[in-house]
Amino acid sequence: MPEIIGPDDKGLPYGSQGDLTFTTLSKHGMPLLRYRTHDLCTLTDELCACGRTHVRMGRIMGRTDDMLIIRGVNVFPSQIEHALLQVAGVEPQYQIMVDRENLLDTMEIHVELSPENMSDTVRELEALERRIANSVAAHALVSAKIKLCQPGSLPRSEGKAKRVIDNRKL
Amino acid sequence: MFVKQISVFLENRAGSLAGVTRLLGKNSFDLMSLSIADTTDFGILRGIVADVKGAQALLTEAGYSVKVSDVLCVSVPDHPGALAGVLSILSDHGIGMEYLYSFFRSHGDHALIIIRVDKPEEGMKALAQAGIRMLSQEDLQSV
Repeated sequence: MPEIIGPDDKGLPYGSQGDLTFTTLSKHGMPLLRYRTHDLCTLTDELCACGRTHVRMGRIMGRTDDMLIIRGVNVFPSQIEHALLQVAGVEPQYQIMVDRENLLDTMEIHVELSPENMSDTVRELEALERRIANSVAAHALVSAKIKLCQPGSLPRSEGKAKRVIDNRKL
Repeated sequence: MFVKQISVFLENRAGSLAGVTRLLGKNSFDLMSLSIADTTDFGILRGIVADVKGAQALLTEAGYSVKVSDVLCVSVPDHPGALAGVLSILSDHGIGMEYLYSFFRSHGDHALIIIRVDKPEEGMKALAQAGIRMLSQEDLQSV
């Protein structure tokens, strides 16, 4: 049984957008009770043009959390932040650029270069990029391209920072 | 006997380099020598100025990523083969070279070369033992 649930866990009427949840009705071993998919969509009980009367769901409009799916892997920006904090001297000032090239998702993480990580050799800066990429691969299970940026060049905001720019047209 | 070099991180964006050089120029910092390392994504500007501390403070305040490093400023006779001689001394002692660039101004009939080695103390000793002349930070004022 599908339902649309609002942020306060109350069921919403047909036509409203909210978290799509499922409740199993005949499963024995592991029943699901209002299992949140965290996908945002709408449900409607309007008659379908073909004549069927069951509840239909609209297109999925987004997520209630900030999870992304990159090349089939679920990625949370908080995982990226955690990965960045594991690398010495890296401050979590970052922005994730997601795009699709040749049908494959790509992820590029722009990370601000902190003063203590600045080096006069390209070799050391490239090694830093690799350390960050390895940490991201270890924690978020995706391979991302790392691009170092000037300190202060990434937008700051009061409240929650916009960490993800998704340029894919899905 | 080292010379201080300042290095600045440059984003790969139009106007990046112009911005840094304009800032230094406006504040009367004379870039005696400079070199730019470039990769696909970023560049590193390396330069020699007389007042390194002042330049570092100015650039850091303006939001740039800056580092000060010790480099060798080697004086070589200005004729073919001289540079090869200096580099051979370093390689004979197992000292690796990170990068090298020449100084804008010359020193009489000598050319000045900035060399950044991976083992600064050992590199300096090896060259000193071989009688190679190196300039100090004070010597730079008179170049």
